[in-house]
Amino acid sequence: MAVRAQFENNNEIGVFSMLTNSYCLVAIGGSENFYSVFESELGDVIPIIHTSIAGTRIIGRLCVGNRHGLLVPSTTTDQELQHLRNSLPDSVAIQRVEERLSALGNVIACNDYVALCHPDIDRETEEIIADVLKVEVFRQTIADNVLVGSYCALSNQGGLVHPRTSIQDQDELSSLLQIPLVAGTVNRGSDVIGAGLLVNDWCAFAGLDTTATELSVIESIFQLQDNGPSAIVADMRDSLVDSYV
Amino acid sequence: MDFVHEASTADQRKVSAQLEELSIFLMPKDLITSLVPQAPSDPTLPTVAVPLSVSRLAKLDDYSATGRVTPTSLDSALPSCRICGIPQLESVEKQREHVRLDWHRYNLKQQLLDKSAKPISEQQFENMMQDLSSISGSDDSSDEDSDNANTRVKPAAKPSNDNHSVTTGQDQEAMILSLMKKLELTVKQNQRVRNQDPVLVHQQQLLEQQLQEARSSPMIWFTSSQYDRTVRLGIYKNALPNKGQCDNIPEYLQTLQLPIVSNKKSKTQRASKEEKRAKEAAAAGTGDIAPELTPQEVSDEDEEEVVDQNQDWLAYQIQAKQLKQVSKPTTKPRYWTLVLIGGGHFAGVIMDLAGQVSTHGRDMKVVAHKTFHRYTVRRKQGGSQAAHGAANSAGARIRMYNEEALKSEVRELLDSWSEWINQSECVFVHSPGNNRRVLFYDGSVVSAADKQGRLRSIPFMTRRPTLSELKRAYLELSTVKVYKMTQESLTQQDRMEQKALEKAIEASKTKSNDASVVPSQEVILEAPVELLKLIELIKKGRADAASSHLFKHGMDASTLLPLTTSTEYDMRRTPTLLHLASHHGQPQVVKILLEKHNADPTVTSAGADQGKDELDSGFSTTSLTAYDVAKDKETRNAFRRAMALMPDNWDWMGLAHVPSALTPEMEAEQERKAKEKSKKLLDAERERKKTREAKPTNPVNKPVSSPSSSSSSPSLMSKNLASASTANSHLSPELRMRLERERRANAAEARMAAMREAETIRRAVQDGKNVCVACGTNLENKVPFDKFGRKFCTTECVAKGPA
Repeated sequence: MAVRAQFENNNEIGVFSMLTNSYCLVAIGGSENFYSVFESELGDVIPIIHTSIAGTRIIGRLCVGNRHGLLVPSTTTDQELQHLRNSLPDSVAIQRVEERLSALGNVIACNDYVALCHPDIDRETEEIIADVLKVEVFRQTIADNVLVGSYCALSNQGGLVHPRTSIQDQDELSSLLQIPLVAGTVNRGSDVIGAGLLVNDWCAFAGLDTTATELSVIESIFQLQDNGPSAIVADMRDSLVDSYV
Repeated sequence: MDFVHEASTADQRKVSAQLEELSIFLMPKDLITSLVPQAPSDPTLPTVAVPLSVSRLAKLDDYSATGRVTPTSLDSALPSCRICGIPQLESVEKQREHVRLDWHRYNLKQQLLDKSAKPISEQQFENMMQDLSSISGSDDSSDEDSDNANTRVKPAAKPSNDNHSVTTGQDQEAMILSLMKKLELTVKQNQRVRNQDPVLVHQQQLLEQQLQEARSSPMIWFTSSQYDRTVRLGIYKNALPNKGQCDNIPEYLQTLQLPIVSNKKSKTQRASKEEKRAKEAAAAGTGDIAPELTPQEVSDEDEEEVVDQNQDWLAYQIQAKQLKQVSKPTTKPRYWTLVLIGGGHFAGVIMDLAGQVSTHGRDMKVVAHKTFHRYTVRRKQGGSQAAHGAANSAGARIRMYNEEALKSEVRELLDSWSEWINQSECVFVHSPGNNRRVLFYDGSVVSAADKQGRLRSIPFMTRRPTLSELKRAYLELSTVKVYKMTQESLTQQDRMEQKALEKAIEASKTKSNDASVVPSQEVILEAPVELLKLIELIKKGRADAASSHLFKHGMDASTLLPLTTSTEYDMRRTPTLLHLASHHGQPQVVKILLEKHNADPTVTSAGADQGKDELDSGFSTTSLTAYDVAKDKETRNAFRRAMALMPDNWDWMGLAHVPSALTPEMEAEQERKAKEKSKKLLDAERERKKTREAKPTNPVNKPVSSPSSSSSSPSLMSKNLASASTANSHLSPELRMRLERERRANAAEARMAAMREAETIRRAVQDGKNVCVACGTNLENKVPFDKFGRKFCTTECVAKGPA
């Protein structure tokens, strides 16, 4: 399901929150409306952690993570780090990264298997990404933008990229990441996908301005349609039914 | 856009006659290959013959293409690397490996810095790395270098070699970083150079403008080398596959041609003539057509030679049509569908493109056509009834009914035509407003065509939907437009272009003149070390060292300084060493430069020649001489002294802006005057003191000496004294002296009293009496202020502190 939400009259919810398959981070000091959107969708599935990073609320742009781990910038305080460590599931590794490009959420985009990063990122950081998030890291650009984290949203099912990404580039990226990609927008034509959209393998949150068309694109590329009973027989059979073969 | 049919010369008339009826499906091969895309030829606009970069056009249009939501599928997504110019990699693993390479990283960086840059090949990159390693690692032995190369080729180093490979990895990282730094610098420099080149800038602007025009134009214009520059050929973008968004339009046009052209091509190759004929016969499937075909073809060959020479394409077309008639279509028919709907009218037609080939001129073969009309629009009112909401009258109900009926009729018709429509190369639809709903619905053939990208709009005005209108639209779409510019407009255009270019050059020249003080970019980047050192010396004011430095390196003090890369200060303000010294307020250096090195003080920061011009119009900030930028008086005096020393060397007053000379005599005179002045001042002071002391009493003095002020601090007292002395300045010296003595005695007394008082207070506090520690007031029936365990009577005492 793709849901619309707003953080204090701001549609860039990807700035104030972060979503992965095993946890969700939300900025502190938001309205109950905002939190309840997440709680209704994720409440009993994954932990929703209220936190700040380096005393700011722009946590979605400052940190990056997936099912396996979470990377936070060097500006994160010890208290915050401790709080995150206490709240995150034990299987999730957390690591502070000394990187000049400290808005990690802007310069890195990842799912559980691959990550794209800014071409100028440190080699050490690249290694940390690979180790902590357990991904393959590729230095890339999206539509000639170095801020790959801002201009795309990836899940294990698919990815939404900057609307000006050429077909060739989409094909190339799609082959590199091994997920289908589509060029599109969120928030009624905004090209900063990463800031307007949060997505994991089973749900997505978009800014309140996102149009129905944009939502339908999001639902189809991330395969978030409400799967009816037929899907259990067709698509999900393998994952549900063990067979002795 | 009207088409010039009346040509001035007979030659031009011929050209227009040849091209008038040219169909886009029957264009001769040579013509297609000779086509060069052109800027849209609007005679009012000065366009130039800079070939339009179609690839850029296609790139821009990609955006609109992505508007349709078609996700990339993993099957179609081939592993490739656009950045390194690799069209296809073997596998995804290879691609991922490639993306991790430093080579790819370098190309990525280059691409980011400069979009037009060509990617470098792997070999080139390796060479660059090798060069770099030979420079940076000069202390390394050659063995290690070769080792480096080995580890680079095989990333999986042997375990025994582990330590070593780590260091080489670091080396390589450092190397790639320095490479990138270098790249950044060169790209920036190139850009700077490019921005300064007026011709390039001009071209860039033109290109942008043309791109803008080309995007908004419904047509693509070409020139052909077979005709002169005045002839422009235009093709509707919508008539082309992929709406004309392709790199190589001639190639696309080639694929668009009816097979007749390829027949002709095969025939011109005489050697393989027999085989081809046999093949054609086989393709025809029946044996009896082959003999029929042969004589026709043989006769054609000779004629075609003539045709080629004359470039008479009309004749060629007629022959092609004849041939076509004889040889029977062997390929499957090609269709276009055109549909117009609006205002209760509907017209649809299926055209067979091959049907053009008939006995006369531009016949078209209509496979099927149909027109409907229903009364759906109220006269004089317009708009569909459905848009008005509920039907309130009989007429309205009729119109509502008719709308529905027309809808179902049209849908039925299109369904019955679905086979043709599905086969159509292009489906042209004009259905404004609500009419769209008639054609586009779930499962309609038109929607299917839209999804497949075959749907086109009609890029020009159409009138009421009728069959004749459809035919007109078809002709319009399928005909190559010929636009002939008159010779005058062409020359005028050339002139304008020339003028614009000259203007651009002129503008940039004046701009560079401003900066001509600062010679060229190359010099800027490599300011010599000795010069930098000299500048440093001058800034520090080490005149002797600077002088010897100048002599040692044989530099001319008057030469202009290059603009260094350091932006510490504005080099434009200090174009010479003299300016520099003056700006930094170093009179010694200025002196040495002017007297020893004969530096030119008339050089202005705006360049010598311009400075002269501006002299008349008064000084502007851009024409400052070294004197003008002087920091302080001493520096200015250094100039004036030099002027006195060698008054005839330069035009000091005029060009150097030095107001007057300063000779040693003048200086001595000045000094004398100054001494006199100070002496006078001293005397006056003495006089005043005397008169002050002569005054016997001083009422101002009283409060100062009164015991109530005993608590005032010494500084306050001295201030009072000072004010008193100024107040008594009118007294005679003796009086003043006496007054002063008295006051001092009073002050001493007060001080003693205060000390005594403080002593008593301290003692009282030590004895445990309840008194204020500052003033000794009894605190028995007061609420004391407490600070650091001490008791005070008032806040003033707290502020004053304990005695």
